[in-house]
Amino acid sequence: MTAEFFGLFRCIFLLTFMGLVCAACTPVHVPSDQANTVQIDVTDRYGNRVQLQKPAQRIVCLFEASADDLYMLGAGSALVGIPAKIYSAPDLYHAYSILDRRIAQKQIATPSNWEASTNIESVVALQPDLVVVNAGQTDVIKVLQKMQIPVYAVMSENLQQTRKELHDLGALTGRSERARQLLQFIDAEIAAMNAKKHNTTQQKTVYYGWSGGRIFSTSGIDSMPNTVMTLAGARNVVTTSIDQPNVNPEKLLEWNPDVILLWNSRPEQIYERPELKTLSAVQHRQVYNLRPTFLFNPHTPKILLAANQLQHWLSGSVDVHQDAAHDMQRILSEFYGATHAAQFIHMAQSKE
Amino acid sequence: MKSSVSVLIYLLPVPLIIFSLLIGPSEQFGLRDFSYALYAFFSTPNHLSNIELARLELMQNIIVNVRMPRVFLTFLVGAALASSGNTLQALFRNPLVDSYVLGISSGAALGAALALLTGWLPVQVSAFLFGILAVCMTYGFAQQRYEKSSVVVILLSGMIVSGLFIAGLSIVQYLSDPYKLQAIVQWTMGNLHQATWEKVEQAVLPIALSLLGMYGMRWRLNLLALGQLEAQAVGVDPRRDQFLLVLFVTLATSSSVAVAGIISLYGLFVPHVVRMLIGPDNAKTVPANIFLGGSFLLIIDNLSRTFSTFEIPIGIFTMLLGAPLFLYLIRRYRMNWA
Repeated sequence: MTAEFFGLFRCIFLLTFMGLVCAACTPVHVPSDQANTVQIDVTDRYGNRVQLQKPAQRIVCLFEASADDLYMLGAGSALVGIPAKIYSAPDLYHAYSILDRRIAQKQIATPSNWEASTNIESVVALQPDLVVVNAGQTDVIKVLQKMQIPVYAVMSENLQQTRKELHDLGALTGRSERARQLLQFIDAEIAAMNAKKHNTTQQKTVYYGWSGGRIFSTSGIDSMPNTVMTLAGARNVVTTSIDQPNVNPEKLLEWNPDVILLWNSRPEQIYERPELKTLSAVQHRQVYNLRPTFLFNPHTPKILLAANQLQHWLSGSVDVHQDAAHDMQRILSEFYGATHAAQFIHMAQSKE
Repeated sequence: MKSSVSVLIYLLPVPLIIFSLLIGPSEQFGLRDFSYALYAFFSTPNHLSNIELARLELMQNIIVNVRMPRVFLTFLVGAALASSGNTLQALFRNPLVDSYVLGISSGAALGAALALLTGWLPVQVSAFLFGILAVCMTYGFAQQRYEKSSVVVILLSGMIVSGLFIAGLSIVQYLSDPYKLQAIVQWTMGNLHQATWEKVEQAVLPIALSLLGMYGMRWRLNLLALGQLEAQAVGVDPRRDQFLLVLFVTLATSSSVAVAGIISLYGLFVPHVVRMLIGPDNAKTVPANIFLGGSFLLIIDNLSRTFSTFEIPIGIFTMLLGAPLFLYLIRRYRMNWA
């Protein structure tokens, strides 16, 4: 009796299992009668074609820099999903809380932690009409595309990509005009910085040190920090193309840069090291810190702000701090509006 | 033959340390410049121009504040890892054991990662404490109520504790932002490029004490290597000696990992190289491991810091150079541990 019961149970189990396997292998039929009504048609840098009938209203943005872009475009209210790091990193949480009350109250869903830890089920449950995702997440992109969810892949590895992504996000959210304004502003700022560059006689050298005290981890010539230096009219002392090489302090002494630029590291970490006391940048107190990092995110148009501030620091003029603060106010006002700019500057001052 | 090799091992550090101080990654401060600077200083000290004086000052700064701490720290770390590996291999009578077998490296890695993620403690302190914690857990889990813990139980316990801490490390890495993740990954690859006198001060006392302790117990290590019963038969208290030796190994390895990160397999192959060169007598291998362990890591680090303008983590070079040498010696001496 027991053997018969288990035999029957095994049969039912096997049949159910095979049924589930067959169901899983059957392609999902999603009605696709939208082709004729497409109004927005964008192809990202990685060849993914995104077609929308109307500007996106429910955006899941899993790339923090793109979420920032969306706020600059005035499309932040369409966000329904963001990376959890916006809540967990104090600097980011503080900054985004200024931009959106929903973030201050942690009301927006977080279907991913960082750029590479996406929970697909959570994304789908948010019923997005657009997902903005890091281009490195190829598996996530494929799965979402199979589900007929429009996916726009981003990477923002250089200024050209950032510009294209800003332009495309403007189109996808119905903010093309605002995107055009921002791009024009970027061009004008670059032209202004170029004009200043030509007025200086000697190109200064800069060493870049990474965050969290990793002062001997730097950036090579194919990096965003290198773009910041180039825009500001300076030259990176590091000539390798490796993205984040470690260097020997001895090499730094040999390079002897005019300015040391830090990303979220205290300048005292340079000033207090006895072996670096002979550096020109140390002797002339030319060590600067880009903090709070949100204001200088090089994967967004704010790369201009980083370059602008560096150009002021390189100038060595008497009113350097006043001029830099004035430009910060002006650039942030263009990106976020005067009220938010003032709040960001207050935030930056409170961090110092 | 073996006595001449021994002499070579003991004499190697002094010229090697001097040579290491005279080479570096900067193109302008090589051996030739240093010789010229010394010549200029001693021949015409009052007639040096300001530029030459500035250059001398820079050279002095590089040698005293950059190269010296790095060379000393590297030697200390190499000596600590090799002697710890040798001691554990003898103690556990197992040639597959290395200095990290009790969970020290994974414990220290988790400690460092937590410190990098949260900033709750300095990285070195956190790595050191977690390394010690891992060993305590290994011994705690291996303790038997009514009988002595066997070597196999201790080793198994060490592997399980390592697994636990590696799982913890994976969680921390998963939660870390890309910048901190990069720092954690680089730390686990071994890093000596941030060597300072401060780190030398932190590491020198525990490592020196531990090395002295291991050196003092080198004869007993021979008896312990025979087995617990045999050691007891000749009047040695194996539990007490085992405890002391593990304490020395833990102190030395934790201090090394705290200041230099994880240098994989170094504590495994250097003791074997030493045994191939001078034989299995622990009375000789303990000091030989201190000298050769320090010297060999110094040679590797010299390559690591002068190979290119940027640093290659020493953990990578250790295996790139150590593995072929080890394999060559196995074939050359026709070693077989079966």
